[in-house]
Amino acid sequence: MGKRHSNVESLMKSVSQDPKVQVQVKEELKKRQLANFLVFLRCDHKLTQKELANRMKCTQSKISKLEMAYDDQISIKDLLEYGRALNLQLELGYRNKNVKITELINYHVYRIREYLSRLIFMGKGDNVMMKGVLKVVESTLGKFIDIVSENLKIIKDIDKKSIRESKDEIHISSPLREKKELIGV
Amino acid sequence: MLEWNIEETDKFTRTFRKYEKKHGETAIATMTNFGSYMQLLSKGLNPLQISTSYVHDEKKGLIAVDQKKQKRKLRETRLYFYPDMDKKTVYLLIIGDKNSQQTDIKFCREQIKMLRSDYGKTA
Repeated sequence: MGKRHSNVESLMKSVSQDPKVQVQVKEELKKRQLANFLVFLRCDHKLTQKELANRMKCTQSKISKLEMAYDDQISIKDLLEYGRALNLQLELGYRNKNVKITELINYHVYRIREYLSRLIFMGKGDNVMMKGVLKVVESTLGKFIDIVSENLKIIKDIDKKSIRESKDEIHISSPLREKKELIGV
Repeated sequence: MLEWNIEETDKFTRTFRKYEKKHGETAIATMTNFGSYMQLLSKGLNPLQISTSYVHDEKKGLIAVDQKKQKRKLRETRLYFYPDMDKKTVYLLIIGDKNSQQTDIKFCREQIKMLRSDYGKTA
C-alpha cells in the first residue's frame, strides 16, 4: 500500500500539490475544535443527533448546525444546553499560554492536597468516615506511585512530539467521568 | 490516547490531486471533515460510535465523509476510507462525486476484501 501518516497535516503535505489547500485545511480544523468536541461528547454518550435533539427539545437540524459550526459561532448558552442534555456541568476557565507543563503538574498536586485536606476535615470525629478517608488517601498514594513508575519506564522511548503542549486558543479538557469509569485511571 | 495512522493508497492520491485542481474548495471542505473524523478517533471513539452529519456508513466496513460545510452549497462529494480497528489504520481509498458513487463503492469494497485477506495472511 502507500505512505503512512500519523496525522492529517502530514497526509496533506503528501497528497496535496497546492500549499494553499494544505494551509486552509489546517485552519478550518483549528476553527472547529469546539464543535468537534461536542460531536465527541454526544458519540461518547452513545446518542444520535435525533436523541440529543429530543433531550434538548430542539430539532435535529439545530444539533447538526451546532456540530458543524465554527468555534466563534457557538454560544455559552449552546454549551450549557448541550452539557445539560448529557448530564455534564460546564466548566470555564482561562490559562496563561506561557504556563509550562511542570507548573500545571505542581498546580494539580496542590489541588489534590487541598481536596484530601478537605476530606480529612470532613471526617474528623467520625470513625467510620475516617476509615473511608484513610482508604482514599492510601489509594491516592498508590495511584501516584503507579503513574510515576509507569512514566519512568517509558521516559527513554517517549516521542517528544506527542507531549508538546498545545498553544491553541481554546484548551478543551475531557469531562470528568463517573466514579466507575475512573477506576484504573 | 489511541494512536491511529492514516495510509494513502495510490488511487486516493491520484483522485485527490485531480479533485483538488478541479474543485479546490470542495476538496478542502471534505478533507476538513476527514480531519475532524480523525480527531474523534484519536480522542478514543471507535469507528462504529461515530455518527454525525458528514459521516456516512456505507456498510461492510466502508465509511465515507462528505463535503458538508455550513452555509456553503458545494459539489456532492464522498471521500471513502476503511478504518481497520485491529491495525488502528485508516486506509484512504478514493475520492469522488455523485456521478462516480456506484463505481467508487464497488472499487472500495474490492479493496477492503483485499486488505482483509492480506491481514488474514499476515496475522
